[in-house]
Amino acid sequence: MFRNYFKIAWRNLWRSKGFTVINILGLTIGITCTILILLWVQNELTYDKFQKNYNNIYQVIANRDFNNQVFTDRNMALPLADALEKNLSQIKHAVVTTHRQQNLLAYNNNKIKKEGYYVSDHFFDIFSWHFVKGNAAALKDPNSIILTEDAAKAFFGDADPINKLLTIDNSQSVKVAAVVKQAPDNSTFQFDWIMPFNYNDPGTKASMNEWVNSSWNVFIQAVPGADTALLNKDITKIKRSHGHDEISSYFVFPMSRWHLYSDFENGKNTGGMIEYVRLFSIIAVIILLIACINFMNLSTARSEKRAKEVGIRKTLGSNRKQLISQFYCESFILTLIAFVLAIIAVVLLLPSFNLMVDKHLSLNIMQPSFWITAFSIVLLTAFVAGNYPALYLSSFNPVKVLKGTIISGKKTILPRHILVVSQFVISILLISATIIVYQQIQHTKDRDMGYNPNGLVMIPSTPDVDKNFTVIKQQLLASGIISSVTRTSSPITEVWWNTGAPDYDGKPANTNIIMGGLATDVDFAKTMNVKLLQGHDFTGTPSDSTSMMLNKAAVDAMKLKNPVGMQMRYGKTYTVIGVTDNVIMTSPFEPAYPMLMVYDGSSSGMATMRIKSGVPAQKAITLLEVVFKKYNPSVPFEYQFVDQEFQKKFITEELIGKLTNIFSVLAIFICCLGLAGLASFTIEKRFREIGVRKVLGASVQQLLVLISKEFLKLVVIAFIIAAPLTYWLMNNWLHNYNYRITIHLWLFAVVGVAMLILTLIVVSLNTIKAAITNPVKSLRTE
Amino acid sequence: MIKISDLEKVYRTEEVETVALNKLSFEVKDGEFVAVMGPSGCGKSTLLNILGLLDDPDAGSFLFNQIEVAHFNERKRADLRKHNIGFVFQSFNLIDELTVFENVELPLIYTGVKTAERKKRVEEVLDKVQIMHRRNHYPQQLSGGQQQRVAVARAVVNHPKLILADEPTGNLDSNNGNEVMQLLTELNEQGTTIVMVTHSEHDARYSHRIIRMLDGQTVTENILI
Repeated sequence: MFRNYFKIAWRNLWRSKGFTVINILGLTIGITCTILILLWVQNELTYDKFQKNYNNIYQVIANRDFNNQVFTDRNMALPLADALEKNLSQIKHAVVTTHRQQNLLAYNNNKIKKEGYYVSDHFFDIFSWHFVKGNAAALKDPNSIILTEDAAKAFFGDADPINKLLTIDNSQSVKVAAVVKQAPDNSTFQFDWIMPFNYNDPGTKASMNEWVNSSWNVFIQAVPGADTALLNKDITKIKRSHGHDEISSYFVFPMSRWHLYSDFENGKNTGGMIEYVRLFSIIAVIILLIACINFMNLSTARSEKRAKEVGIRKTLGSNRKQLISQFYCESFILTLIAFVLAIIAVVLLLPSFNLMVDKHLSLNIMQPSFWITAFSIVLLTAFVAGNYPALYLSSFNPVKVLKGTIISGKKTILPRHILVVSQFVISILLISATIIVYQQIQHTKDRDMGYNPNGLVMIPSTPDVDKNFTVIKQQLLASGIISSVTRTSSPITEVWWNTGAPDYDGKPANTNIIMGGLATDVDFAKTMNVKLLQGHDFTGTPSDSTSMMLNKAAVDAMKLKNPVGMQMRYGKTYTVIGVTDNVIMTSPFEPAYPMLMVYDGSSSGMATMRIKSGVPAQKAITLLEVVFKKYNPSVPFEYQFVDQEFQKKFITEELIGKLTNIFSVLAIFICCLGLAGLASFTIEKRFREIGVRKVLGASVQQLLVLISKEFLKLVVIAFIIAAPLTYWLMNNWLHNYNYRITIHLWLFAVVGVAMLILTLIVVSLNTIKAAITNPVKSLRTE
Repeated sequence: MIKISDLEKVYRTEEVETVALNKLSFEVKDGEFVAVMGPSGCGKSTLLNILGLLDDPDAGSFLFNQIEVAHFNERKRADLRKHNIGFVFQSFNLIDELTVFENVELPLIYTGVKTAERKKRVEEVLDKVQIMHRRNHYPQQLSGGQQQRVAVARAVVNHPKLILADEPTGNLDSNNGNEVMQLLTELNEQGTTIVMVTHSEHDARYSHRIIRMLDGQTVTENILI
């Protein structure tokens, strides 16, 4: 019986090639998108899951309440981890780490910058890592280093790295004690090396008794089934017992939420990547659904052709169940073919998709989970697509069908129209959303950043750079290629130093303002092209050591009327000498951060140079390389363009933009396929009518209008539904950003008109043939 | 009105060449009512299609109102057709989705007649074929005879000079058939030229002249009046 079903199904599909091609193409695109998105979603959902203690690992975080503005801070004091492990029975292990940092590692003359963490003892007790050579005991020796396989290879090639000596930042010498596997893509910890804290180091030693300076991350492994509410209370109590810290309440943040729910707003965990995971899961389903809708629509539209077959089969004794099975067979065969094609497409597309989403996704066809998912997709798609046609087609009354008294297809017009409208709704929604995302990114990129990032080059400072800064600056300026040079404690594209506002006369009680801090040398405003609103920049005179500059946001937040000349108590007393315009250093989607700037003419984190306008960047880089290699010989020359660093702030948004763009184009393409199919069926059905109208004098244009009108009506209905829906959804999305666009209504008008034109084109292309056919032919089909 | 000479039309498929019209010549005068008879496949329908400017001949001349139209392009043919020729088909060819009124109105829309004028003319002609009371019905709600009366109404609503009827009574019983023939006769008496293809000797007798065809050629002509 099944062989017969398959045979008939196969022949039917073969006979109506147009129908088959449209459906297979649509389903292939749909399934391809779904698989790609699912791979991405799976990768996102399995972040850190390879950790054996996944369910018991937490990060210790604080909500710091600055006058009812809660700031969630991951930075902890160095001794906290030890104190927690010793005092709380619910904590099995606690570990403290630095932020990921970059150090210059050298083996003989092979010097490479590599990223990693300094960690305390129990790091490998909490976090599971695969040791290729050596073991976790490597952390016991403060002069040891643990490398990843890739890092080891970079220094030692195929030679055994164990016990080889590496130099860190041209000073400390460490011994390679173990080699671990590279962290997988979806690991929060990404590193080339791990080193133990060196508690013998005087700086570290001092920090071990320092409970205010908070610059480290603290992680704990709790006992299974730990009471986290109690933990939060206990941690807060322990922290407060080491000094005044009433504004902070500490809590443990489970590993399962680190990646997907990383955002905090006013102390509340608001979400993060999970929103995009959800969004794209929905998009995957929608695209597949659009392809299924094509199948439903086209199957019922051509029901007239199948009605006779159904009638004959029923007369010959087939029951309804058998007919339903037969129609399911057809949708199953189609889906299966589409699935095979989709797998090929995924294999071909994965490299570029990986490049786009910056991951290393792969199809694991050896895993049973792959086949389970694949089988579910095929079955579900075949069922969703085939359900309605199977039930509808099998319901025909054989007597009526064979007598020709049934006008089949009529009953399906309304459902078909509803399905087409929903396709259009999705299309309009996706196009509008794409445009809005694009506008939002563009709007933010066009924002006045308060400085000019173009033509600015940053080079990380080293002790050598700081020592030779004056001569470096002189040589660069003398070249005529660089117009201005300064140095700062951190790059202009980031804030590394968060602090409370200084004290000043008239400061309202209980004001806790969070500000960013920046130490700069002279020529800060000149080099960055920051506008000075009042006062002047640092002058390089001794008075600079007690001078302070504020930005406009700081002046506003501190409610200062005449800031220049005011005394600020911040450790020592400073005099405000200038007010700069706001510089966007953190997220460009957020309001400007209040900043205070103090003078530091001897050490820095970053040297920044402005290239004279009109000078090619390459020429400037060549000069910089020569000069920096001369005065900073121990470190490989590296540089960053400020504008490029700035662009990195848009990575997530641009990814979202690109993905919605691609998926909306594909969704619309599938819609158009379905539309083309429907239009050609409509025309087939109205072939005689078109002939009659032509005989009566209808022109080709009049016929085009006649056929298109039916579809255009559907577009209009879809538009009426989609426009407010999009407005509501996208307005919600935009509320994630403080600095955002308002959605203009003309956008919908443009999208609506574009959709109408697209429909007109697709329908016309199909209609034109019928419209120019000699009516003699259509009337002869009687 | 119509003068055709040496008209030829050949249908070719890959293997077979069928001569539909073989150097056919005749003339139809203004106000004449001509019946064309002959067995199936003798070329009657082809002739009617060419006369109706739906198809063009391979060779020969076709003068319509003294104008050579044999090689008119599609647009010119359509233009000439919608102003001068009305069609009545055996299978009525009414549009199912449109009411009686709307069906009859169609040719007027295509010739650009204004709404008010259209209404007047459609009602006039529906009155004439006595189907006014069914103006808001759909074709499938009517009997065959009523449907053909609507088709006739549609054919004449534009006041064409020529009506081409292709077995207008072929799908009707004798009562309804006679009614339709009566209608055509009346139209002819009012001055409309009619060319009718038929198998029915009875119907042919309503005409002034019968042209009998065989294998794409005229065999005989009987003049009845």
